[in-house]
Amino acid sequence: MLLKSLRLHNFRQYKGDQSISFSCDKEKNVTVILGDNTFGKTTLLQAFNWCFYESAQLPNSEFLLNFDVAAELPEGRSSDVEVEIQLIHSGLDYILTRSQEYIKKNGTIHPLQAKIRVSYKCADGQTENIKENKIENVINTILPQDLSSYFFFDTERVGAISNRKDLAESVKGLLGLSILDNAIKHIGMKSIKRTVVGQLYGSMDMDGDQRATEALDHIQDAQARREVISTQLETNQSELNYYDGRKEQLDTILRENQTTSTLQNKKETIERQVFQEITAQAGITKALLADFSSSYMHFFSQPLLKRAGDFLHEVKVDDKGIKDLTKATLEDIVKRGKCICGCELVEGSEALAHIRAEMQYVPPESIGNVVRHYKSGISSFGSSSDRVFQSIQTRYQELYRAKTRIQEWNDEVEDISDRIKGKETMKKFEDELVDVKNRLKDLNIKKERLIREDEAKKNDVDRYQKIYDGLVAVSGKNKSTMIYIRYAEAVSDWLVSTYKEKESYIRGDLEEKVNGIFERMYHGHRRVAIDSKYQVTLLTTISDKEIESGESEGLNRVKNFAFIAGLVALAKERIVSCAGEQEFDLSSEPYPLVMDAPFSNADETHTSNISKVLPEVAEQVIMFVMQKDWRYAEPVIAGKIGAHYHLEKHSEQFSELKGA
Amino acid sequence: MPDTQKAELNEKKLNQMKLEILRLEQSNLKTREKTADAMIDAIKKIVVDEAKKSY
Repeated sequence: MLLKSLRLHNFRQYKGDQSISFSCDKEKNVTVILGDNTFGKTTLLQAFNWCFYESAQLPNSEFLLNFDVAAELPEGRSSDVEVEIQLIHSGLDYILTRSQEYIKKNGTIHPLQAKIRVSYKCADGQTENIKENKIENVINTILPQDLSSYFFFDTERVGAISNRKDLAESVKGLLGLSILDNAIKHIGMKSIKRTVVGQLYGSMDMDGDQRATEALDHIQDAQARREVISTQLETNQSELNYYDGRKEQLDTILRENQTTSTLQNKKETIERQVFQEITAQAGITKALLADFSSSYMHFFSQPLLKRAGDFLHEVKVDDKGIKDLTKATLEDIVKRGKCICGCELVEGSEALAHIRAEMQYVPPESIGNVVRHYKSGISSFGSSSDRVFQSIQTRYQELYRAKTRIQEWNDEVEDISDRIKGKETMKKFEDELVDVKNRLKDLNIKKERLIREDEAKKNDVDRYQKIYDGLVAVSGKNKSTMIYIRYAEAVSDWLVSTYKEKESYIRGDLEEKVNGIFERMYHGHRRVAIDSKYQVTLLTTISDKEIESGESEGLNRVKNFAFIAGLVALAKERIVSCAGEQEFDLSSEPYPLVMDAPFSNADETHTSNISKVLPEVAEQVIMFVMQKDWRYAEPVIAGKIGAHYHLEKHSEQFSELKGA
Repeated sequence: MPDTQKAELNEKKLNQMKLEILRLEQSNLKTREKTADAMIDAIKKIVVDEAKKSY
């Protein structure tokens, strides 16, 4: 498909008749329409969607009539919105025109039923209209709606195309397999009466032979059942493949995360130890403080007492005098005149002289006695202080050791946390694995049952076929019909094998092309994978293993561009089917890319890469671009521009398309 | 299909049928002029007419 032109009539802000002619030049295949935000770029893209599929992703999309026109509409009168697209598809010129009438009644404007006309120009120049009931089919043949969001690409609403739809049928149709698929359905088989083969079997002359009719009925019933079984087996196998794959993934996750599980347990053990140590530490701190509160005097006085003891030891004043004896006591004895030993104390006596001499060695005449007493006190106080000091020192050392242990454990916990960061708990995977194993068991049982039943039905078909062949081969007419049937069945066999061959080629080739394009657009190291539903995922390689990688919005955009570009590149290729020496061209055809804000969120390098690649792979590129993005794209793409427009915004209700 | 039956078929006729059927499908895919029943009749006619031909 190549787009020739777009004409808008009163479609949203495009008041009156406005049109664009797109470049269909092979060399200068880019049409660019420049316009800033709110100028109507998205409306242009949605005009394509509305014309093709009667669907427009716009705010208040049920009201498409230009507001100025609506405001001026007289009571009872109506006005039309119309979008017309001219395009070339499979060598035919098509015109698609969708219109919607709006009528003003009681001051309110109501939409009437939208209408669509599709016509094409025949080889003889005559224009033929497509019948109304065929229009939807024709449009979907030109561009399947499932794939339209890839070709009418709204970059800023990229999420809309990332839903997990099965695109297989649309992609195959787009790439030319619909011809084979339709032929297979039409030729059909014996069990389906509304097919070529079914009708040929039905036209056999039974010549009233009830047994032949019954045999044919048996064959058709058995074949029909085999068809159902075949479909069920396919579904069953597809589910088996899915769950086998999932089981393998889960096994890998659980195996790889066995270390995580061990580390998680170790972390929990250490955390418990840390908690116990902190509790013990608090107990020691409390005991230390209690010791200190009750014995701080001992603690602080100990060094002073030691110094006093040392000093007194050096001065040696404690070696004379009787302990606790004072001068006053001796004076009392002298005053009494008689010593406690019984000696008379009179002047001149030797005893009195002794006592008076003793008075020189006792307080207050001498402190030696007091010092001796004091030293004894120091000794006893000192041993108590030693015990207090020792206790506080021991507790402090315990606290220091505990603090060191806690620090080491916390470091280890932090290290483990870093190693297992982001890894989910394994429980949910273990539960899922059990569920997957159960499903696989059930599916295998079902598969075996279906295979047994199919075998039985096949035997039925063979048995009744022999009966039938024997009964109907007698008449000449039947002989001719049987020849036709053999031809039809041979054509059917060939179609089926050709379809399978082409189908398997398409996905592999598409993946190769998408990766080639992705590598040119993306300046990183990732790979694109396409699954059986033609959904695209990005893979990155970590330790020789490919895992699905996260996607930023910018990267998601590049991925989608690569997929679209791969699709259009493959559609351009020639796919041929050989019937004997003659070839039949099954090829699809070139497709355009219509893109709104393609460079939004892309950096300068991606913008430049995308600008270079897209015009090379697509036959036609139509892009609505913001001026700020255009400055990076223009230097790369300038040589490819075949048509250039810009949008001029006169008011919120009126934008105008102007050719540059 | 058993080989004995296959041997009766004329390869030239068979290939001609394949090409004509594909042409017909390709054409109808563009225009959707024919219904499924009309296509079945048309394909059946291609098979019968071609099988009757003598090359």
